[in-house]
Amino acid sequence: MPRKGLTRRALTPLLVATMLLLGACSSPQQQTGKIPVVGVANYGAHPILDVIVDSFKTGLRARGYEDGKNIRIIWKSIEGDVNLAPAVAQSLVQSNVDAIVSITTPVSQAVAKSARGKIPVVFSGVTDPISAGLVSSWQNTPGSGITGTSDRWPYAEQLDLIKTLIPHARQVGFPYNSGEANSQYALTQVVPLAKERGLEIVPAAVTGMADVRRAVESLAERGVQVIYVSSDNTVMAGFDAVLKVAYERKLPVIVGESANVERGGLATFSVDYRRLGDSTADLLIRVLKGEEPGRIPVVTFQGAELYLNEDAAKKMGITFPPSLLAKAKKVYSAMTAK
Amino acid sequence: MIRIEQISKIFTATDGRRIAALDAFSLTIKPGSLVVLMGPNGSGKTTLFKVLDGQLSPDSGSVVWNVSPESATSATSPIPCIRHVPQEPLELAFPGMTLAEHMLFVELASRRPRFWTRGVTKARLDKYRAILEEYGVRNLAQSVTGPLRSQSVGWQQIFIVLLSALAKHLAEKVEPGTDLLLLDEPTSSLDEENAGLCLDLVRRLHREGRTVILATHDVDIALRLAERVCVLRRGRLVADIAGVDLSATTPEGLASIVAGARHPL
Amino acid sequence: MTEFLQALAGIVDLGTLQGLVFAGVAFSAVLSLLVLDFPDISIEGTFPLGAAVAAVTLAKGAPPAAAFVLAGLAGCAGGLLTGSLHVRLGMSKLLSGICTAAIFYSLNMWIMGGRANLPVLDVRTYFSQFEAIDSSVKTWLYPSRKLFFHPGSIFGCLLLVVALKLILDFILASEFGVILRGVGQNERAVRAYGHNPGNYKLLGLAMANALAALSGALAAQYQGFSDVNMGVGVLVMALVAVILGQELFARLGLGLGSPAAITRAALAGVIIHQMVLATVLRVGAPPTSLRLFAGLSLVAVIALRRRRSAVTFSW
Repeated sequence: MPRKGLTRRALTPLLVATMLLLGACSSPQQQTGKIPVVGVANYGAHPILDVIVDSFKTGLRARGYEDGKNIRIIWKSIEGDVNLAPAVAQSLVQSNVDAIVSITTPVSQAVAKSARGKIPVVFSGVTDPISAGLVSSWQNTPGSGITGTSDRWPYAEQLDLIKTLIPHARQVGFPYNSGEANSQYALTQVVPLAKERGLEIVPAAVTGMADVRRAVESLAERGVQVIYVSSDNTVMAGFDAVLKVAYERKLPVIVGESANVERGGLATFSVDYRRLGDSTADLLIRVLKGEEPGRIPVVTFQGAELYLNEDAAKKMGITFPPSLLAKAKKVYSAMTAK
Repeated sequence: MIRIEQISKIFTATDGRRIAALDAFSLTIKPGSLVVLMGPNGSGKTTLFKVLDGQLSPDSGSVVWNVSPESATSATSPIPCIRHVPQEPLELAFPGMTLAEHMLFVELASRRPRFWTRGVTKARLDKYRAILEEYGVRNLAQSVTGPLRSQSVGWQQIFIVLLSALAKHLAEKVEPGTDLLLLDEPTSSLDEENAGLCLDLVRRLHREGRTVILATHDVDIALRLAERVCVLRRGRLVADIAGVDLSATTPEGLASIVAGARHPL
Repeated sequence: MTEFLQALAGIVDLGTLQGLVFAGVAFSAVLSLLVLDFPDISIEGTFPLGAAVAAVTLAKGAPPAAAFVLAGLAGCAGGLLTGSLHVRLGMSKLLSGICTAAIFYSLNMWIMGGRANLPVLDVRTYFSQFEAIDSSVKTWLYPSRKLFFHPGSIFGCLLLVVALKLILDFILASEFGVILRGVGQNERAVRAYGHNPGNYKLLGLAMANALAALSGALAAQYQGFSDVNMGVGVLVMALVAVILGQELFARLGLGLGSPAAITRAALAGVIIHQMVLATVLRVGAPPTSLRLFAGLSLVAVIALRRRRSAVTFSW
């Protein structure tokens, strides 16, 4: 019994001391101030975000910055809990970093709140930075202390793609999670663009991954001619369910980015998230070199690439016109969806 | 007079059988008397209590309350303040609250509590202490700010009995003349000494003018306490012994009546 | 050594500030869980409700006081909803909370104009005046170092939290509070003594959710945004705060014998929890293991406990 008590009583101080020591060790050294220190605040693991992060690292390397050699990066994540965002932001601010890269909207908002005026901020993975309150215009404002990349999608091109591939389409099914800011934004953008093209958007709300199948089935029941999947995290998590229903009912699925075409979606004009990550790296380096973030307009992507999937086309009863095949950046034929 | 007239209460068991907890039960009680109810388990004592305090409504029959002599002839009369202490008195207890807070609870029974005045004030504490001292439970008086559960189970029960009895007195400072106190086996889990204390308390409460109906298994208690013993079996009154007959009854005799022997008278 | 001290100071600063922001939620749990014995899941809906109401109010240029008042009232409504579902419709305690939280998930978006996220960045907030103090303290005390502490903001939160605590303590010690506590311990007895427990539950839940909403309003102004997903995990945070506080006080022999002590324990619990999180963040645990380490740290703190006594009240 005394042995047990000793272990218990020693456990806590030991753990606490270890953590504090580790903390002291991991904080950046003021003496080697030559090496810039950058904090990256991420949202969590997610296919698109992972692409951004990877291409960001590659982008830095391509421009001559190697983590650990001439730049130091502190990686933090809120792990899906938005209430941790201010804590993560604050911890980076208190770590004396030279710049902060923030990924996704709530994280960027928290970082903007804590760091603006003190530390320059580069955001990424934010679809609509204006209504998120990060910048006042796409051109940005000198002195704002913040800039970044937006993954605002080429919705017009994607809708045109629908018209090209499915000429008889009138109703476009749009499954989405209304709790995601990006998806709401997408919907507001897409509805008027669709109308211009004689298309009607039929939304179907989901609250979780389990709802996705049911939502797509209901869209099919309502007679939509095509399903349009945007950047919605929830629908993407349940993308296999979308494909299953689509194949069963020979319903074409237009997606928003190339990864999902690879998985079995029909086609897309995609924002290249690799370019996004790369642009983020570029912006960061410009900021580290002294450029004032407010003078850098928000980077968006006008030119998008076309991706097609032949197997999906067969299953969905679509034939690609040869001109389109010629234009495509990549044509997939292997599918990963079952 | 409290006239219980032909009360019947039938329960349906889970297997569909109909059980008469009370079967045309009648009893007349003089205000201010101390009646002991006896009977085996399931004889209807608890059911009767629940009918009297309004928890259950009888399937037939009625209870007529004429508690003051003046209203003997009036059709309607005020129902007395009925305090029912159930078989598990601790069902009426708040384990985590202090004795004082219990008494405050009872004191607040008649009016809406205020949230702008402090609950357990010094004045109230003094008052509660005094009341407990008055009733001879000094140790409770001394630990009036302590939680109920730090008392022994016996003392907790005694406290609850006292608390219930004192309800109106605490709330409105009314004379207990019209109170009806129903005690369902208050000494069942008490040891010899505490049982004695409890009974002393009951006697005291009775002497203050309350009408007391006490249900018990224990023939000794019945004989020690009662002016009148009513025996129930299967929802019916099978014996009603008072006065001379009562003093003549031995514990063994009473026990056999309860068990089923016919009463000689 | 200075690095270590700076890190420590940063943890204390951040932990205290965050703890105070979320203190309202801890108080809410004291009221619902400890006093009323009602595990109130609806705070996962009313916490973001307060945030949404505050964000919208502030965006329109209203003073922060108005934001708080409206948020508090909205929280009351939420609590009354939960209470009504339980008392009038007879839903179980857990289910009523879940229903309310679900309803408010959609309602909060509607309040924010159909959006899932509303920024609170370039508007005047409760913190605006205190952030000015933070900056001036910085320029005055430690201008050369690249550190950022928040004495002003902490002070601002302290004002609010202490006010709430005093009000809550007073109500719990009042006549009303005694009956309220009774409702949580033995509803049947409350009825026997002539009170209607249902009404008390309604009032108690209204107060508890008002507290959660106030915390949400404060959080939105602190974080810089109101997001419909803010409610996730708030209940766990509240429970951890309350239980941690109780364990700690019991272990350290500090009294838990009055409403003031209980709320004090909950406040200590939420602050310590946030300090633990801040420590783990500061230490630089690999990004995906933040919650793992936070959990382990809590285990370590609980391991302080010597006695195996259940968490109880004894006031």
